[in-house]
Amino acid sequence: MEETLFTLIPAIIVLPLLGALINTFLIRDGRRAGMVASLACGAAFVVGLAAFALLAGLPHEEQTHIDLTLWQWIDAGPLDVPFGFLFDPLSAVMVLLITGVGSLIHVFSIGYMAHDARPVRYFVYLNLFVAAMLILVLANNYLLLFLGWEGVGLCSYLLIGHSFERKEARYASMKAFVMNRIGDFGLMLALLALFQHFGSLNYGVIFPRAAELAGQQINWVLGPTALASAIAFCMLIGVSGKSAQIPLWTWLPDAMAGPTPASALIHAATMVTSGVYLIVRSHSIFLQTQAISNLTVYVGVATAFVAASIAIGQYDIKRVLAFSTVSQLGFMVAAAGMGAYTAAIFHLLTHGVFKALLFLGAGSVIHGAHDVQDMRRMGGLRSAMPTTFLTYMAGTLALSGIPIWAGFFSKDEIIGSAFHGTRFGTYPVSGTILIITAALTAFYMARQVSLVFLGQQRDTSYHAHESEPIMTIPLWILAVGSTIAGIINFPGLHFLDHFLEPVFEVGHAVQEPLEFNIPLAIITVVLALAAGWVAYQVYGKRQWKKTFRDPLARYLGVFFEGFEQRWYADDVYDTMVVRPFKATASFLSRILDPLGIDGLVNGAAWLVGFGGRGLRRAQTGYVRSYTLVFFLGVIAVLGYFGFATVR
Amino acid sequence: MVPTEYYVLLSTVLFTIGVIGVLTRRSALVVFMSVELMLNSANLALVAFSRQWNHVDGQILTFFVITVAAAEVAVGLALLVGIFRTRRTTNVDEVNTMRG
Repeated sequence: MEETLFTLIPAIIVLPLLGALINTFLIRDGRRAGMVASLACGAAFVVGLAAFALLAGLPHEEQTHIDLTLWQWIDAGPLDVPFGFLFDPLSAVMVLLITGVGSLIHVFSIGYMAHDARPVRYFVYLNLFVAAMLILVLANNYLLLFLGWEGVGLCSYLLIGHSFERKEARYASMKAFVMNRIGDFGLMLALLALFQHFGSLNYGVIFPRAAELAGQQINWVLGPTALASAIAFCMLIGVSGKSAQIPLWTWLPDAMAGPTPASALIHAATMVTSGVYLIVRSHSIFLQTQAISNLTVYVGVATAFVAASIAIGQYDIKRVLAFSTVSQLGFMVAAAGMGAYTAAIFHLLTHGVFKALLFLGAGSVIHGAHDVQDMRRMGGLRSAMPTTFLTYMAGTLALSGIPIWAGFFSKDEIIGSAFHGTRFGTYPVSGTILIITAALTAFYMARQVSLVFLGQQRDTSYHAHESEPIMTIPLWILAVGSTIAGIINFPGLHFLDHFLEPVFEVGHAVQEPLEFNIPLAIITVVLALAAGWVAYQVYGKRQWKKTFRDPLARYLGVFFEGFEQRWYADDVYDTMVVRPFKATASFLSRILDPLGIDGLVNGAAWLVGFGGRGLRRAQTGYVRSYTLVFFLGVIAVLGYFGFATVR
Repeated sequence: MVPTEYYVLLSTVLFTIGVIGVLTRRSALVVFMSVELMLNSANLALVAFSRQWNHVDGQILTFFVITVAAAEVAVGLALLVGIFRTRRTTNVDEVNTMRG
């Protein structure tokens, strides 16, 4: 049985890569490329499902030992890195999410990208993206994880900049790449520190010995620190880059400059989940440091709240969803920081499904509304797009945390963990903020649905239509998924808790499955419903004129301006980082380079020329004068030798 | 027997005449002749010392010098003819293309 697994696991990664290769070299037609890409990803999903079934059938304690080394990747003195995969329950659920949701996004893209200028290239990037993400979650050592980590960074850059004719797409892709590189640098530091201490980057070596890190002190930026804290902090920087947390979060909202299905892939199934995955995978290290785990919680909670508040003030249909992703990632990171790892992964999975649904739904709206993205120009699309509306409602209810939809269970498990407490204690303040954030979530989603689907169409200059079946079928599947995905960790059943248990046994991080907290659930649901109702009253009931002015702006004044302007985070970064950087670059290119560097080079040339002009007078061209010099030279040499011998 | 000093003295005189000729004359042909004079003064000294020490090496070397001188004259005269053809002169002072 393990042999079968060993052949299945490489196939999971090879299939999308193969799809990318076939599309690169053989396919010219966009629709056919989409078929190949979808097939490759779908096949990976089927293989992943089979591997998952085999893994689930294994005895409990063997589930973490499916460790397969394909070949020796790097063998340089003490650095010994295998190209190996670890297929444990954590990787398994990630693989299913990535390939499952990924496949649906691929299929959806066939319809969405039908009129694109470069569909083949798009599908190649999409497949590569999935492959890189699979490498990230399947790696059995940190360096291979880093390969996947960089791979998704690269592919996100390529996908965001897919329509590079548009300036904001180019800018957004660069922004995403640079922000990610800052985070990657943190992760790289963490890897170096790990390697220095353990002499290895393999999970199998590091995690059982992770407790050593707590005792080690190193001299760090602010005096002596526990090595565990330093490493966890560096990892947190990496997490904040990839999973769009404060302070490196501004790239994700801009990432929607890419094609909408690509945003769905970045925001839901791949890329942004890798930061959460990293914390959960490295739980043995994070458990050694209360301080950084707390910091992780605070970062997550702050991000969740700030991003949710910004989502309220946005008008772009995708931008609302983008900030919602940042906010939900905050929930996951907070849960992972608390040590509620199962809750984090649970929310990651359900969010992956319903956020993919919402993004694809938004894609369907944009496609049907002829590339209109501004919600102020929409309204009343329910009648034109009934399928999209219905499926979008499923995603909205899931995200808002209304019972029986998936988001309710996973979000409540996180909030419940905050109040119930973990090994690090309870987080009542953070939990309260998360409850408020959940209410804000319900508010902005209800606002969005009201603005897009309810009421009357405000801008009637375009004629909206429902999307074709190739786009609506993935929506239906995801809508069903968003509705029932709560079952995977249903209170009282705890499938996911039990399935992931072997992973957390290694680091002694097993949490008792959380019992369902009924008062808490009532509070969150009532708040969510109330927030949704208020939003509906404000936005859904009235007839808006074409010149739409958000009514909240009147009541909240300066706060709403803050929401609308994203709390000026981009402006702050612009003033603090981008402008000084550009000024430096301009100084270097306009002053230092022409005067300094060129001056040095040209100066050297001038010096040689000056010497030459002086010395050329010696070259008289008279043979006789040369001869004279020659003779004098001979005499001098002879005289020297004669003199030397005499002495 | 004529003492070796005389030969050496004559060789020195010939060499000096050669040097002065090379340095002062402008005609390339005369410069050449002066060079030959210097070579032959060296030959004379070689042969004289060879006899002095009863050693044949000096005389062998002389043959080499004569051979080299012949080759040098062949090349040099060819150059001279070439220069004369293009510039209509053999005055070494007028052949100053290499002037800096």
